[in-house]
Parts: sequence; C-alpha cells; structure tokens
Amino acid sequence: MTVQQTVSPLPGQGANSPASQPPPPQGMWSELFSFRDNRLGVMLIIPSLLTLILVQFYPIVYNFWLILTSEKGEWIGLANLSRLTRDTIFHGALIFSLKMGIVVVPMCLLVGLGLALLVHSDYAGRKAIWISILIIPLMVSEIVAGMMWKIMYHPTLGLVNVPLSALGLEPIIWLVKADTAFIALCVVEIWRISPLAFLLLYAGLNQVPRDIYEAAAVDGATRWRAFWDMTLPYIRPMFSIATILVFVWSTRTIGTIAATTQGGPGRATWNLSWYIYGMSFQRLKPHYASAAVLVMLLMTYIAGTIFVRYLWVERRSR
Amino acid sequence: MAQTDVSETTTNEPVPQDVVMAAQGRRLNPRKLLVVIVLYLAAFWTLVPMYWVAISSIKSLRDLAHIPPRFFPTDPRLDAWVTIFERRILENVYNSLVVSTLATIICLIIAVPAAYAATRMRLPFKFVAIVVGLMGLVALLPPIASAIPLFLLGSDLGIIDEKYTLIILYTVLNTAFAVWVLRGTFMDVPMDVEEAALMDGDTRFGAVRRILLPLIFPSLFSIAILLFIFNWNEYIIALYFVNSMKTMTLPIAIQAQIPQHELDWGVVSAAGTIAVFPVLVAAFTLQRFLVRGLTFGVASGQ
Amino acid sequence: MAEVRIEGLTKYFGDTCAVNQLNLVVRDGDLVVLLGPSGCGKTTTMRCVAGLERPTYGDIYIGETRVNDLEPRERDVALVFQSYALYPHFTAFDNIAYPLRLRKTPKDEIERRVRDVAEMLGISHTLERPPGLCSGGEQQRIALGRAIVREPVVFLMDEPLSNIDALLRVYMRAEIKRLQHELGTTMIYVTHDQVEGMTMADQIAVMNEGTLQQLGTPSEIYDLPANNFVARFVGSTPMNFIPGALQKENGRTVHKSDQFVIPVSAEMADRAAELCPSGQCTLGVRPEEIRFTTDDEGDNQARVFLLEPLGSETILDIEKEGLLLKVKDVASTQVREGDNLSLSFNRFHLFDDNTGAAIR
Repeated sequence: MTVQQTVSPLPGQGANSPASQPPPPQGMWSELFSFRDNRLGVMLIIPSLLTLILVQFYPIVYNFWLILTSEKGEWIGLANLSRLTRDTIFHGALIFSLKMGIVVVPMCLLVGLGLALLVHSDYAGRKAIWISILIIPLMVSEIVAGMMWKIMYHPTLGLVNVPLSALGLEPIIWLVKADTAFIALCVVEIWRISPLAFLLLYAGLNQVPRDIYEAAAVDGATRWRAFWDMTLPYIRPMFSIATILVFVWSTRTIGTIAATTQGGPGRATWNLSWYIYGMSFQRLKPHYASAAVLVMLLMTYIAGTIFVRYLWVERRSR
Repeated sequence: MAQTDVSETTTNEPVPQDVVMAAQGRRLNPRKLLVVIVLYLAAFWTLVPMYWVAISSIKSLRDLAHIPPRFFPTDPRLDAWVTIFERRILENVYNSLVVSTLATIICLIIAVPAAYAATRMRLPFKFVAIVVGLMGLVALLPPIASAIPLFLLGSDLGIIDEKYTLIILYTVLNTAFAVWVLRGTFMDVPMDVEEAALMDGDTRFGAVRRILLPLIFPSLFSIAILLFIFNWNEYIIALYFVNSMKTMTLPIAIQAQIPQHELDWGVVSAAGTIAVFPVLVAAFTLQRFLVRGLTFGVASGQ
Repeated sequence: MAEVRIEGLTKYFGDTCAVNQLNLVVRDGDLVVLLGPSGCGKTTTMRCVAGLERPTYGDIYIGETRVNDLEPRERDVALVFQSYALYPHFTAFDNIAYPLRLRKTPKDEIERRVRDVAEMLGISHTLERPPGLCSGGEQQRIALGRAIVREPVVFLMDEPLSNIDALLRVYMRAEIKRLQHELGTTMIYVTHDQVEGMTMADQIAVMNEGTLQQLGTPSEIYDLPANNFVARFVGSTPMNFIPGALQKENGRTVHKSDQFVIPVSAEMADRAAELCPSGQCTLGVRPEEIRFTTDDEGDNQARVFLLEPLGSETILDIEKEGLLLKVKDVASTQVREGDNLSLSFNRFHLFDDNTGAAIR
C-alpha cells in the first residue's frame, strides 16, 4: 500500500519560479478554437453576436455613411454636421434634453432613494406589495404614460387642477405654454422613471449586510451617521448604475412627448429623440437626422464610459 | 411576547392611566406611522393616473364635462368600450400579442445558449469579458439610434409593415439585454450542482435539462415576462415600421386614438386600460425577481 | 478499481499557473490526501482527474486508459463536493438514485441499492425529504451516498468535511476511512486540514503554489519533512524555526543564531557541508522535541511568557530576544509564567535558506 514517488529533486519554496514553468498557452484565439468544448461554446454565442452586428454595428457604421452623404446620396463630407451646429431647432432640442436631464435625473434618484429607504426600513410591512405597486410605472408604455398624464393635465377632465381650484386659483392649462409644459413633462418623466431608481437602489440596499448596522450601533453611531458611513458607500456602485440608467431612459424619451405635447407649443418641447424622429420620418431627411443620432450616441457613450470606469475603479478598490 | 406581558400587568394590577397611554403609544410608533403614511402617498401618486384613465373610460359624457372632475363616476357607461371595439382594438391587441410573444420566445432561444456558454463553458476569460461587455454597452444604446439605418434597410428589402419584421427587430433589440440578465441568473446557480450531474454520469445537455433549467425556471419565467412587457410597450421602432392596421400594435393604436382637441377621451382611456392590464399582472409577478435579478452582481464583490 | 497516474500535469488559468508539472501515482486501493493551503492547486488537480478541467499540458491515466479527452461521465469516477452540490429539487432518494437512473439500472435494483447505501450511512429516515430539510451532517452523507451507490473506480473528495461542525467531523473522517477500506476503492481526498490528512491518508501529497512539495506516508511527512514549507504546514502546533548559520566552534559544528547555540551531529554537519556550502540555514524543531529544565544555569536560557493549558498537555510560549518558541509540556511540570528555562534541542531539522530544502 505505498505510492511510488516520481518527483525527482524536491523543490524548495523558491522553486516555483517562472523559469521552471512551461509557457502559458498562446493567445486567446488559438485557445478559443483548440478545444471541442470551446468550439461549441463559441457556436452558442454566435447567434447573439449576429444580433449585435445587425442592430448595433451595422446601424452605427451605416450612420456614418448617412452623415457623410446628402439625401440624394452624394458625398458631402461634414456638411450635415456643420449644418447641425447652425440649426437652432437642434440647439433647442439638445438644450431641452439636457435641461430635462438636469431636473429629472436628480429628482428620480432622490425619490427613488427615499422610497427605497422607506420600503427597506423595518416599519414597512408587506414589502412585496409595496414594491409591486411602486414599480408599476416602470412597466407602463411611454405612450400610455403620456396619454394618462395628458388626461391628468386636461383643464376640465384632469385631476391636477383640482387642488388649484380648491385653493381658489385659476386652473393652469399646463401643456400649452412652454414653461408649464416643461414642468409637466418633467413630472411625467419623474413618475415614469423614478421607480427604476427605486428598484435598483432597493436591490442595492438589500445587499448591505445587516451586521454592519449592528456593528455601527455598538460603536455608537446614530442612524444618520450609520446612513452616511455605512449605507451610502455600500450602495454607491448601484447608485452610479441607477444614475446612468435614469439618464439614458430620460434622454431616449419620445412616447411621452408624442402623447402629450407633440413637441409643442411651437417647438418648445422638442427633445433629441423627437428631433431625430421628426427630421427622419416626418421631414424625410434621414441623412441629416443621422448627424443628430451621432450626438445622441456620443452622449450615451460618454455617460456610459464615465460610469463603467467609475464602477471598475470601485470594484478594484475592494 | 413582550406585548402580552404588558397587557397582563395592566389587567392584573391597577395601573395609572398615563402608563397605559405610554404602552399604547409605543405600539403606535410615530416613526412607523410616518413611514406608512409616506408610502401610502407614494402608492397614491403611482396609481392615481391609472385609476383616472380607467374611470375616464366608463364616465358618461356628462361626467366627463363636469367641473370639478368627479373622482367616482355617477353614471357609468360602456359607450367608450363599445366604440374602441368597433375601432377593431382587438386586432391591435392580437398584433401586439403575436409580436411580443414570438419575439420573446425567439429572443430566449438565442440568448439562453449564449448566457450558458458565457457562464458555464469556461471559454477564455478575455473572450467572455469582451462579449459580455459589448452586450452590456449595447443594452444601453437608445433604439432610436438604430431606427433610421434599420428603416432604410427595411425599405430596401421591402419588408416595412410586416409583422415578421417587427418580430425580428424586437428579438434582436432585446438579445443583448437578455444575455446580460440571464448571465446574472445563471451565475446565481452554483456550478457545483451541474458538475455533480456531470460526475454522476449525465451529459452536458442532460445536466442542463434535468438540473440547471428546473433550478432557474422561476428566473427564466420572470425574464420572459420582462421581455414580453418590453415588446408589448415598444413604441419607437413600431413608429417607423408600422404603416397599416395589418401590423399596428397597441402603443401605435393608442397614439392614433389620442384626440388633440375634442372631448373624445373615453375611447383612448379604454384603449389605455387594455394596454396597462398585463403590466399590472406582471408587476406583481416580477417584483421578487427584479429586486434580486437586476443587481448586476454589483455588491456581491465578484 | 484502478490506479490513477498523473504525468507532468500543468494547468493554466489565463496567465496564472495553478498546477505546475505535477507527477503523482496513486496505487489501486490507496487513499491519497492532497494537502495544502488554499490556492495551492490541489482542487484543480483533482478536478483535472474528474474531467471538470482540461489539463493545459500533461496526461492523466485511470487504470491503463488515458482520460484527457474523456468526458466526466466516461471516466467512472465519483466526486463529493465541498458544498455537497445536492440537487435541491430532488428528494434525498432521487439524489442518490440519479447516477443509477442515468445508467438505466432496473427500477427494483435502484430501490435496493439506494436503501442499502442509506442504511450503511444511517440516513434511511431522510430519503423522502429534499436536501434542504436535512441537517448538514445528513446532507454530507447523502452526498457520500450518491458517490458510493454507483461503485465507481475512483472516489474524489473535495474537502467534504469542511462545512460540518468539529465533533461530527472527527466522527466522519473515521467513517470515510472505514468505508474506503471496506470498498477497497482508490480515493483522492483534498483538504487543507493537516489533521484530516494525517489521520486518514495512506499517502499524503503536500502541495504549495501549484507544485508538489512532498509525497509520503503521514509519518514520513511529519518526521522527515522535505522542506520548510512541509515542516511549517504539518503539525497541529507548528514547528519552531530559528534562523541562523552553521559554524565551527571548538572543532564541533554548531547552529548559531542570535539567540541560541545548538550543537549539530557530525553526520548532519557533513551533509550540510555538501548540500549547503554557505552554511546559511534555518533550524526547525517540533514543540515536543524541545526539552527543558527549570535551572537558571545552562547554555540556552529563555523566559516563559505565556502558558496555554490544553488539558492533557500544556503549550509553553517562550521568548528570547524577539524569537518566539512553542514548547509542548506533556509531563505537566509546574512551570509558571516568567520562569527562566534552560532548553535543549532533541531532534531537529536544518533547512537551506536558499532553496528551503531539508538538509538530510
């Protein structure tokens, strides 16, 4: 009952030096196709990659082609882009999108965080029911959300003016003036998107281990301090994900506008998406609209990289 | 237990009134009261537009014109519902159902193997990181960014205004997201269990069918519902690709019903109610999964 | 029943080398323990044998068959996982029956064999329950049953006892060893717990950083460690190390450190001169090999600063000029904290500081 020893000279602790190792396998691609299993794995992934090519890479490349050509298909270089920089409608749409982002993103995060903390607290019984109710707007179609709020804002049918008239104020015709229409749209977007922030932040809160609160309490931290020192750092990665998703959702809004103001009054509520849609589909200038698409992609890309990098740094520091 | 003790002492011995008050006060924690009140307000804020649309669809014309608006209809009518069915809303519902269901199923058929390969097949790490990273990035991109090139492509191929075009587009638009979420779900099931099946003599496919799929079925079902809701609500692509009643999905139909000036709100309210109904069902089915499944592995430290 | 032969096994994960040129032969019917700290490559080695990992280089033979290209199911080996990896949606019975069902065993035979195994492991009462409703020890035995029931040619155990409580662990390791003897099946058992390794193994393979450090019977590993890693890793109270150098003093070779001067036998001195010309070496001595008297006289004086009574014995923590030694006092001498002791070193090992290898 013995084992024959086939290791010749016994190595010391320094023996595991790179010199005594065989070389690591060469390159990702050779490894990828050198095993039966790997070939099967790649084959399983290929259909998904094809969809990526069809919906993203093809359109992005084609977009550049569109930008560089006129509606008649002639090569015009950067003319579409330079025209865009002089286009006041586009400026209005870009500013409207950014303005809306500046209002909607922080409000959604604030509302979402508040609700997440409330539902997460020990005082909220039946959490499942609260969550189910609070996430409903997330799953309502943009167009339906817009339509609902159009009724809510309606001067005679709507509910929004009821408290105003109860206070003896004149009812506001929300959607026909530029500044009230902006506020009204922001409210719709907050209604629609803050559940996303709520859901993500609630999920983040759920991942905070309970015992760190107990440790903090033992160490004499007040609730408020525990929130600053424990909760916030812990949910920070989730917070950045929530920020980027809320931002992305708010910039891609189009159905809300289609259902409520149709970009009006005048062009006061055109945002980037509506501009792209209007230019390409209603005014039939897809080449020119593609230049605006590029701007939108850049915005998403910049937001995306900032937060991906932030997340990556965050994870490395753990 | 503690509460029973308190009540026993109060019945057994004469206790000063203020002590009883204090004990009751403790039960009605003001902080808890505040939390619950705010939550009720939030629920009200969330639900009131939907309630408003639902009752607007059954209000009589007189109720609709009443100022201030009535919170409960005094004279419920089904006129709007009759009208909306006359306007063949069921065909739109049918289109939406067909497109959403098929796109969801095909999307899962494409995405499940990819997610499986990415999490289970020990492909070179770099390759998986690149693929998964791309999928995550793509899931962020706005659909309107691809709409124009896809529309022009569709025009060239002559497949605008076809249901199968919508199905194909909805499938591919959601695949990246589906792979991304499925991957998280697969990572939740310890690999050990599947490996145990392999050791016990099962084939790879057998282990997936007998062990992995039963274990992830609840999540898979939730993801399917989520994808279905995405498709059910999809608006931008439909805006470009729907031209006629033949393909018109519910969101486009609703938009078409929105009156700009007259008082014809009952009809669109009825259409909206139809569109929202599956969403309500989905919200209650999905909440548990969404809280767990959409964490993107963030705080798990991996 | 089969021999397992591992030849030049190397496994890379990306650019990380998890196992480096491992050679190991496990004789038919032997219980070999792969012992080492976490991340030493022991589990990877076992998974390569199981077929769950592909070797980057090297060959694995089970019996006479080269199994590199075989699927796990074609190798006829059973693996008990650290997490047990029971199928949560099956009952305990179905868990144990699963490998038999996959082999299309007749129904009545499955019934009989599962019941037999359950009886043998004392888990008959849990058979109708899902594993989630069983205790940790019962789950552990269900996992064992699932491995045993199919009568594989090799058992692989991946730290199967690390998730159960200490008392049960002591009982179960004897149980597993008994089972292995009765069935006579080759077993490779992975653990980081050196007590488990010492008590169960026919042969121990100590691994570190992907490399095999030493292969031998438990007593060989304990008494003749091949290098300072093995010496440090094995032993429930770890070996004491005294850095220093070999010197000639009055015609005798001594190991001289900042704290002690310890005479070295002539035989050992010769070997050292041959193997370690620099003379720089660390002396390692087991706690039970240090003798002491309570004299204030003597060469190697040191002060006791802490007593750790363990009941049957006492560990004396001794300090001298920044060097800490642990000494096992089996005879329950009346030593108190603060006493000065005179130490003598009964049996010790010398380790070359450059390579870490033992001078022997």
